This record gives sequence, C-alpha cells and structure tokens, in this order.
Amino acid sequence: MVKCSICGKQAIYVDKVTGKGFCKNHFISRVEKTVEETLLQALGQSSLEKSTICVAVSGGKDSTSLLYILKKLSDRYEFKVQALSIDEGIEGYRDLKIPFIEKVSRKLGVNLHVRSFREEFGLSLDQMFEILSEKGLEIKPCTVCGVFRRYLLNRIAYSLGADYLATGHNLDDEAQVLLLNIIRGSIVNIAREGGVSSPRIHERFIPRIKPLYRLTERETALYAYLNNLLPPFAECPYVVFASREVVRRWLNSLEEENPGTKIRLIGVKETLQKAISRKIGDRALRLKTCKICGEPSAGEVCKFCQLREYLGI
Amino acid sequence: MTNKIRVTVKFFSGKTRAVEVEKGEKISGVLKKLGLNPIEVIVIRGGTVIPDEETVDADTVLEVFSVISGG
Repeated sequence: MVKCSICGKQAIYVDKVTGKGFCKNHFISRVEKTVEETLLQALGQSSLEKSTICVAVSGGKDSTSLLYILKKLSDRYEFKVQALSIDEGIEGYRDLKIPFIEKVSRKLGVNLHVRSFREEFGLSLDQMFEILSEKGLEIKPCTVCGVFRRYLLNRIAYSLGADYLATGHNLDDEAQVLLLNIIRGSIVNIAREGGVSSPRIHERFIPRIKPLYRLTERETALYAYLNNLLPPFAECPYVVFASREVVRRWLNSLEEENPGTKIRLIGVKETLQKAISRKIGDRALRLKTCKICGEPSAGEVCKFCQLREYLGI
Repeated sequence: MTNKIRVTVKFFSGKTRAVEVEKGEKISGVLKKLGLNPIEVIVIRGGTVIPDEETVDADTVLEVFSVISGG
C-alpha cells in the first residue's frame, strides 16, 4: 500500500516528481495551498484584498475547480468573485455545459454572467463554421472561437470593473502553449503569454491571472472528481481541428518517461521571457488600440475585427 | 503454474476491457498494456481512487476516467 507522506493513511495520489504520496484530505489541501501560494506570490496580499476577480468558466474541470477554490479563498482574502461564461453556440457541447455552470455558480453563491456569440455577433460558432467551410477551412473554427471568446471575456470583465480575469490554464496548458509557440516561431508570443499574472498592457486590457499554473491537468481533474465538480462529459465537435492535441499527447509521453518535464519547461519559458523582454523591451509587448473597435490589439486592427470581416459579419 | 491474472477495466464511456497481466503487476503496467498513458487517467478501485503504483490481484476491477478535457 502506498502511504500518505503526511499522515500515513492510504494514498490516492503520488507526485511522481517528488515521489510523495497523499491521502484524499492532504491531496485536496495541497491543491488549495498551491493555488493560494501561486496567487500570493504573483499578486501579493495587498493587491488581492478588496479586488474583484472575474473567473472565465467554460464548464470544464479546470475552470470549475478554479471557481470553487477562489470562492473558498475569497472570504479569507476579502476579494470578490464573479463568473463569466461564453456560449459559443456549439450544439451538443456548450448546451450541456451551461446548465452545469449555472448549477455550480448557484451552489457557490457566485454571480454568473453568460454572453453568447449569437447575441453579440449575430451568429453561433456552428453557423460561423459553415462560412469557414465554404471558404475551404483556411481558418480553423478553434481560431475563431478563441479570438471571439477572449475578446468577449475581456470586454465583459472590463464592463464589470474587474481587477483580474482568472482563467483555468494549468501546467499542461502552459507547457503546450510554449511548445506551440516555439514550433510556430512566435517569439513575441512567448513573452506575451506571461506567467501566473500578466500586467495591464493596455488601459482596456484586464490583467490575466492563472492560479492553476503550477498544477497538472491530472491534479485538477482529480481535485474536481474528489469535490464532485466533474462536468457532464461532452467533447467539442471541433476538437479534431485543434493542433494542440498532438503536442499534448507527445508532452504527456515525455512527462511519463521523465517526471518533471512540464515544470522544467515552464522554468525555461520564464527564463526565455526575461531574455526576450530585455531584447525587445517591454514597450514592444504593450498592446495598441484597434482602430476599428477600440479594444486592445497586437496590431493596428485586432484579430477579432479581422476575423469578423473575413466572416462577413 | 501460470502467474497470469485477469484484470477488468471499465471506462467511464461505458466500454469494458479485460487484460491478462503478471500477478503483482502495477496499475501503470495494466494501463500501458491497454495503450493508455497513466498520467492521462485516474483509476478507481472499489470506489476509491488509487495511485498507479499500487499492484493488482486476480479478478481486480478497475474503473478508469480520462483527465483530458474534451474540447
């Protein structure tokens, strides 16, 4: 029997990097402590106190666990938590997740704000996919979904006066994005990706925080399972277009063979970020104002407006 | 006398698979035999989550769910 390294009870989880086992209670407290320390190190207690954190909730295990943990911490550190959710309009997927998000938010006593692509842009993602298909799928639905979702989340968080927009990105996501940026040669994006928190690089840009940054996907899944936070199983029909899947499987094979690969990659990312920032200067990382919509943008016209024109909406 | 034992693996999707492994095989070994990466799943035995360092006995029934989000 594998034992908990703290109390000696039956372990349910072994951290393969340290070799330490954890029982249910000590696993849960370890996850929550990791999130708390990650937040405090990134923001400091004084910035956290009295702040308003909007949590982007997709209804997956990561963002649901994040909402649950932040709500728990909010009393201790006196910050406010609000939940934001985007209904992209993906039949058989999003329509299963929204009722779950509503149920969890209600149970936690958190205000939930839901906005849909259809209401905001006139078309659902399913309808946009038809247009993309007619154009030969030069642009993948995941690109449109990601850009439109981030645009809306930032705009809503700004309108709610949020100090931070928290996302459920975990260690796996961070390591995958680093590899994708390297594969694509997106050096500036490596720096722009930020760490646990990103600064206010535009007046209308709500600083992002990633409190699950140091937890693996497996840890957040187990935490969600142990706290009855697992969402109904539904797979996005567009997942076949996500280039990330190949990287995810490859990275997991590496991690299985060499425990600690992901956390070491994050260390490399942070070193690279400092070097890139020194080379190109922090000013280069600041966002411009889109000359069409007035929202934060990397170029003269933001990706959102470019895609909107491409789709003819 | 054979040291092979039979382990049943139930997936949350509803599928069930049986696999023959050596007696005393670790759960990680069972998962690999099924083509699964142990870090991509969580394993439950008798209603309790167990680490994949644990070993299996004859007639063990494991429930497995994927930690990877579906989209």
